[in-house]
Amino acid sequence: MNKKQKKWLLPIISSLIPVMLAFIVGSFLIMLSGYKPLEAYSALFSGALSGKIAIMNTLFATTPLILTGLATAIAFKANIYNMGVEGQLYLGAFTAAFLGFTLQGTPPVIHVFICLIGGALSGMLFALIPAILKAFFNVNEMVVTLMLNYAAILFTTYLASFPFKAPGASNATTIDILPSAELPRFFQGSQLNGGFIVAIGVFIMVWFLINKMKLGYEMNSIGRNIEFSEYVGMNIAKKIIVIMSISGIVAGLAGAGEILGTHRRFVSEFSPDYGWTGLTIALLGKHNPVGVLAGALLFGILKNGGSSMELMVGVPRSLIDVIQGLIILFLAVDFLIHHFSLVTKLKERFNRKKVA
Amino acid sequence: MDELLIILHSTFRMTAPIALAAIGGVFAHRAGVLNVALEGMMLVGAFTGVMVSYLTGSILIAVLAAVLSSMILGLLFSVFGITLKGNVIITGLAINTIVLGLTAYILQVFFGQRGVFSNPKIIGLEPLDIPILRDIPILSDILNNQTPMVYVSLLALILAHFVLYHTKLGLYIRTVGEKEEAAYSVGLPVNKLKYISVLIGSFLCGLGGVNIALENVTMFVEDMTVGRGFIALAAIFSGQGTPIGTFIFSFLFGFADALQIRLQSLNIPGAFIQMIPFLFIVLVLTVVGIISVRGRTSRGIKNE
Repeated sequence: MNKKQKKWLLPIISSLIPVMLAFIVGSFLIMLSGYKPLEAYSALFSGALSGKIAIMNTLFATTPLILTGLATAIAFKANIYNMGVEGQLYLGAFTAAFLGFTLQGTPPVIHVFICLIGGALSGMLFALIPAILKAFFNVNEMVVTLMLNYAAILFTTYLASFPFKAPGASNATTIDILPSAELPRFFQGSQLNGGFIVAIGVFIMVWFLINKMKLGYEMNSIGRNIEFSEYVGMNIAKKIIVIMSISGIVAGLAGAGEILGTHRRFVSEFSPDYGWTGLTIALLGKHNPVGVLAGALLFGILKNGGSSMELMVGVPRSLIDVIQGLIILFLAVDFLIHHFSLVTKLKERFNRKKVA
Repeated sequence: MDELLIILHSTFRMTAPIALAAIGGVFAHRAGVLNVALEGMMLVGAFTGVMVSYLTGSILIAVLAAVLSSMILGLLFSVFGITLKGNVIITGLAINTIVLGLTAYILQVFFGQRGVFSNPKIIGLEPLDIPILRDIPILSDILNNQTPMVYVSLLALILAHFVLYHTKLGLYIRTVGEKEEAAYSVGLPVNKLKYISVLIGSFLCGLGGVNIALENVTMFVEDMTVGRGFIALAAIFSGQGTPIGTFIFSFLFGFADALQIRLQSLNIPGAFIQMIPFLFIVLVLTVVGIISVRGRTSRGIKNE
């Protein structure tokens, strides 16, 4: 195995082990509740992947997860615990909806762009609060972002249930956005829409940022050793603000995309924890954009297949949450590299054979 | 005046679960273990409390089972976060997610309910009428006729303060948190002390969870802790890890909660009032941050 191969292979294996372990523990849970694990899992995967419509729906479920996963990964790569993706997503979503139903007479494509940019900017501005507090006053960003999540969800709920409530609506929703602001759906029978293109575009940009730009290198360096990075002359405070802003932009886009492509109006508490799932995905993908893409796809499959598993076999889809939690738990302990040093042992054995 | 007394009475009621989790969390915080799993530990306590109360009809067994389930979770957290040296933040988040999924899963598979479980057979916690307290004018309006957990939360505050600052165990725990290397070098059982700290926290989280589910509503709702564990975590940070400070901030949250319930009945948007405690915490952390940055001589950002 040459060095380049190893660089690719190691993270993949160390991400696959937690996933496999989680599925194994999950299968015990399925057995305990009187179902057959193999049946449940095959219903899960075939529900998500068999047929054109199923695959498109899986990609539809993947769309917001790519963005929240990337948003989290950008911050986590620099060891900044931005747990506020959920809140940034909500503000981005509301801004996009607001621009979507107020700007009458805007040409279609331009309108969509304005809404996306507005959503991205409001996500960024909201992420700036914890960023500035962290950069200048060393306030723990994790607690601040967690608190601001609740504030953002409550604030948008307030907006959608009082000043901007759709007339006659029974729950907290705004009026529909104008057709010119809608991200178009691609095919009949699937909700897959232009949001997917946005997500892929952001993925390419983030990949480029992390792998090819100076900032990406600096993010990596801050994440590995913040003191060293400061000694070699990086302006850490500024970098934290820039990194958090980018993270907020991506989170805001996730919210905007969901509104313009899926709901077409703001619905209070519409997100089924996209931010949290994005966090899992970022960890699973080792903060690497390609890894995030793969992780998002896995969770898209789980999400889309979960309902057919419940329908066909009867296993509740909350199993997906359990599996998600187990994946995070097993990811927290890096089995491969730090603790049991499986690889080193294998390598030693391999080398010994070669010598013999 | 009466209005104020009613709000203060319900403030103590709303404070109890937050304060229990937060005071419990203080121990792990002081031992240098960031316990994000307070939320999950409370939720599992709420769930187990309701289920066992329904199955046995005994509130005592229900409380014990809730505490036990929460402590099992504390053990799981400790094994992964302390013994296996996993990232504690990630371990904590994992536990929260697992509990959220598992409670919903068990509810659906074994009890045939989706999202909510309520049944007349669930026995709740009854308010206590305390003889001496009853006769003290204002205090009785505020503190009498509360559920047992309110008194337990006050007791926990006193005990936590005493244990942390006046016992050897407290001294050891603080040593581990402040200088782990020093603790090792004088031969303290660092991991054991961390385990104890986390388990004290999960014990109190179990009680807090039971209180949420069984004090007023006697039912279980999916994700019914709605972030109280994270609020407790914020209270610890704002109170700088002291039991008294932590309790004060828990109390402020309880007050905002009580106020919001009251204002909602007056048709003032509740969501708006509910935001205040969260923004307040951010403000407090900012002020604390500004003060500590001013007093700092070393340059740059220290990673926590």
